[in-house]
Amino acid sequence: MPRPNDALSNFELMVLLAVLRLGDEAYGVPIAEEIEKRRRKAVSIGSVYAALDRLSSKGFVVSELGEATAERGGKAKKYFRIAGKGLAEVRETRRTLMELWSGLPDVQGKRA
Amino acid sequence: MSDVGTDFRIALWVLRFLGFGGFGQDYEIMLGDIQERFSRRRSRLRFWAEVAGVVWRGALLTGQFRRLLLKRMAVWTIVGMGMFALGYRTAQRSFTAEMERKSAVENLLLARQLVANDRFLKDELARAQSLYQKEKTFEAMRQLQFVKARFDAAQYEYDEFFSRHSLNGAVRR
Repeated sequence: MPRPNDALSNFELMVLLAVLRLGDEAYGVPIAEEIEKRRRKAVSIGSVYAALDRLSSKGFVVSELGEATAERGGKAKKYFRIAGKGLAEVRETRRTLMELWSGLPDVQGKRA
Repeated sequence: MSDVGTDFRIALWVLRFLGFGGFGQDYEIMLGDIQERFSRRRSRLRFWAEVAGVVWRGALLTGQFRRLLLKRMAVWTIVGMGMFALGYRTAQRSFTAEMERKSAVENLLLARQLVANDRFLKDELARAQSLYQKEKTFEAMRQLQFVKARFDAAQYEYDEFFSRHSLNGAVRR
């Protein structure tokens, strides 16, 4: 059972899902773009890193330094990977949300 | 267009020195991400908005900044309450002073009216007395009694008013 502090915010869940979708290519820019693409709203690097910082301190993601490219002004990338605890939390959140959504046709785009 | 590299150098300085260290050692990595995005979109405004966002988010992550924010909020709350109290007190004082002034003017006018009425009735009483002394008629006696009753009533009102308000003799005279 996760501790109350470990509960995911909406944006943190989006970041975790983006990290999962991107697999080995999950670093700041693709994560922000993946969320922007699905959410259809601009997402700043600062907000992505703030969420990743929180997720990291909760032990939901782990990171490692990657290569530097000229496009980035010679600065290294930081790749993120979801940890076992993070995956369990995503599954738990999904289960909870599915249970809460079931039986509510209005939020599924259907008329009651 | 000026050298974009200068923007990156300034941005790195801004992130390092104004970011309150909220993101630890990640500022260079984040600036790399911002640069990568800039190389695709080429929007300077967007670039600086991203930098500002990182500074703000980084600042919010630090306990030092949150404590500073809380202290400032507490100080501004106290200042705001103080200003409200001061404003309220000033408004209340001037209102009270205005009411006192108005009341004093009304009392003065009433006092003058009472004095004038008193003088008039004294004259009336003297006239009625002399008329009665001269004619000794029933009508003159009735007139004297009537004026005397009015004079007594006015005297009572006059004494009661002046003893209540302790107005100075200037009004009486």
